[in-house]
Amino acid sequence: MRFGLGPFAAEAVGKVGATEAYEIISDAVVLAENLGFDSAWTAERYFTRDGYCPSAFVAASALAARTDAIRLGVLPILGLSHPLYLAEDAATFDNLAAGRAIIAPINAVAHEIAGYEVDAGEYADRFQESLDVLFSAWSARPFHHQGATWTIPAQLDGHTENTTGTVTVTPKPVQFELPVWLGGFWEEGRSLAAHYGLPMILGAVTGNSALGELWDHYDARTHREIRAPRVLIRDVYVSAHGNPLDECGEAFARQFDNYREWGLWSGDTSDVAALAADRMIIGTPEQVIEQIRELDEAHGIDHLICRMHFPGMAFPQLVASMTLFGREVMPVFKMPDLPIQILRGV
Amino acid sequence: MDIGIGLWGMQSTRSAPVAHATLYRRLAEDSQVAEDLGYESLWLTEHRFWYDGYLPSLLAAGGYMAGATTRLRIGTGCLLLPQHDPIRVAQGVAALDQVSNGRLDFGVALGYRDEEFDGLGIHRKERAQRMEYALDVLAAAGAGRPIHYGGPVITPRPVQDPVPIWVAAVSDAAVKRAARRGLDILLSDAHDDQRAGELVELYKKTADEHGVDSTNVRFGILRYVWVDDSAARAEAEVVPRLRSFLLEQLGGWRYLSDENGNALGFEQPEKLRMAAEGVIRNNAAIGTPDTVIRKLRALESVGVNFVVARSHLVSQTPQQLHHAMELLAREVAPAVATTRKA
Repeated sequence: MRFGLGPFAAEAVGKVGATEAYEIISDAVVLAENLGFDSAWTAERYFTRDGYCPSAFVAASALAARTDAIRLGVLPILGLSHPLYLAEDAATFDNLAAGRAIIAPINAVAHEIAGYEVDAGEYADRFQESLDVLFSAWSARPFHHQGATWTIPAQLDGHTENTTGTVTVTPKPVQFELPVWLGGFWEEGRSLAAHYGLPMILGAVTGNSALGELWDHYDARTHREIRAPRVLIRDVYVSAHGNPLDECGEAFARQFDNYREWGLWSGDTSDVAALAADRMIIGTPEQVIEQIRELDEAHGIDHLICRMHFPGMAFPQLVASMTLFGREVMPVFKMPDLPIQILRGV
Repeated sequence: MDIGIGLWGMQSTRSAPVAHATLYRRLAEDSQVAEDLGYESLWLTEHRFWYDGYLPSLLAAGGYMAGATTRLRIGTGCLLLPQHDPIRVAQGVAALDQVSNGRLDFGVALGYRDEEFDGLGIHRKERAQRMEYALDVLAAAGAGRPIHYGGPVITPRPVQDPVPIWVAAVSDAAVKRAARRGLDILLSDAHDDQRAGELVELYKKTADEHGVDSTNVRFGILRYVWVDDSAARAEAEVVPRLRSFLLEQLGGWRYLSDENGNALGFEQPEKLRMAAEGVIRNNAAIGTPDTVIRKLRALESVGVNFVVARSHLVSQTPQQLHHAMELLAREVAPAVATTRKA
């Protein structure tokens, strides 16, 4: 199993202001690289009260300068503005990250679609059309595109004639096939992931009890013959003592209040323990190992993206949880029969 | 006079090809060198759909610079604002100013290549009105106001209040646009000193007419600058590189005009060569520290108070670049800073 850290969004919550939130991301990702995490992730949301990062590429680009090995996953919103902006950002980002980019487009929510003055009824089609443009733009060949929303090149009156009828987006990504994973946080995303045979990320909004059906549905719909990697985002907190939910439950629940407000989730956060039971990985290292093992045995998890930093959490608390996870939990999943002596240290 | 260093466009040209990932790694290294030498800022430049991989995503590259440095300011010189979605740009500006803790100098220009507008489905003829609207959106975002009545509030607000906006001032209209808003300006490397002075005066006059205080406005200019201990070596090593660079871009993009205002391209090689020669002989500051100091003081005398020194000429080695940057910082910058204080 591979492990990721994030997604981060630099929300300003409680005593942690925006500037410190960005510093925490940077320091946490440097630590993650040293602990052997495989990936680190940044996300974006628009027009929020807590200052959620509105540009996942800008945040990830700063991380690229601070690290040299960890893969950097970006969760940008696709389908609102012209897709070539995202195509250019992603290609530039893959270059400045020296080929470490993973691009995982996610869906806009209602207030974002309205803010960009996009017709909500057209959004899903715009998302798919944008995805097609991205693949063309990142290819090694000049391209043209004619779709319901965008025509590239537009060949507008008054412009110098484009004699080739094509556009070449530059620079090209370093990676010959830029990894594209799709957020399966909405039905359209799951359907497109299966259609294109792309790895699907199931997120925090999907409880453990709902995962099996969604992955089975992917398998039934896809033409892909080699098994697609299964990517899961989970809220993770590791603590050696006490009742760990007391240390992070409020911040954990706060995320789900946001999801409900944004229309990504319909549920109740009043019983934090019940909410956590179906979707959080939490406890001592032994308990956390057991919870991940259960998920893995049920679903076969390839990449577990761990959201270990809850907005407002102080940095030392994050370091403690990450360090326990990196030292006590991750090695167990490198090999199924790892000798206990190695875990204990010899 | 203050000095920023420029311009990084991440180009792998026919005459000086380099892997793009290598160019970006050098951007981080060059930024750290600039920071250590005490430069105020390092400036990026944007174009798109061009064979050499010219940087199309300034804000992402700025995020990378932010991660590589702690004090150096990050200049966009310039982001082609009318080619973008103004909300998306304002969001990127906010994110970059946050991730850099208030180090963004946001320069914007109209853009002029038809192919760039056309690829994005935007009419070039609408660029001036798109510029005005986008500047309104940026102002609203910076103030935490809805971008228009009933529109969204862009979040978070930038660290700086406000983020300095520099308008590329190529024409009288652009200078007036900046002056009405009291924004900083960046004059072109195609303006000679006299023309630069006229545009500074035009700015001040326009600002007065609109009741805008121009006391603290930064009148910046782009200048090709190269400092070497030996004038002969500077001439021999840098002028041919600069000439080739100018001819390729000016010819390919039809940026300069002839005396009748017609765009110059490869089809008029002799006029193109003369235009490039004019930039090199009249506007560039290439030579010993004394020569460069004299040229910068001449600019200062016509009212320019900031220079983006274009020492990054694409084709020189990092060692050559860093040496020239060091001489500019150590031998030239203190001398021109003193003239301001005197």
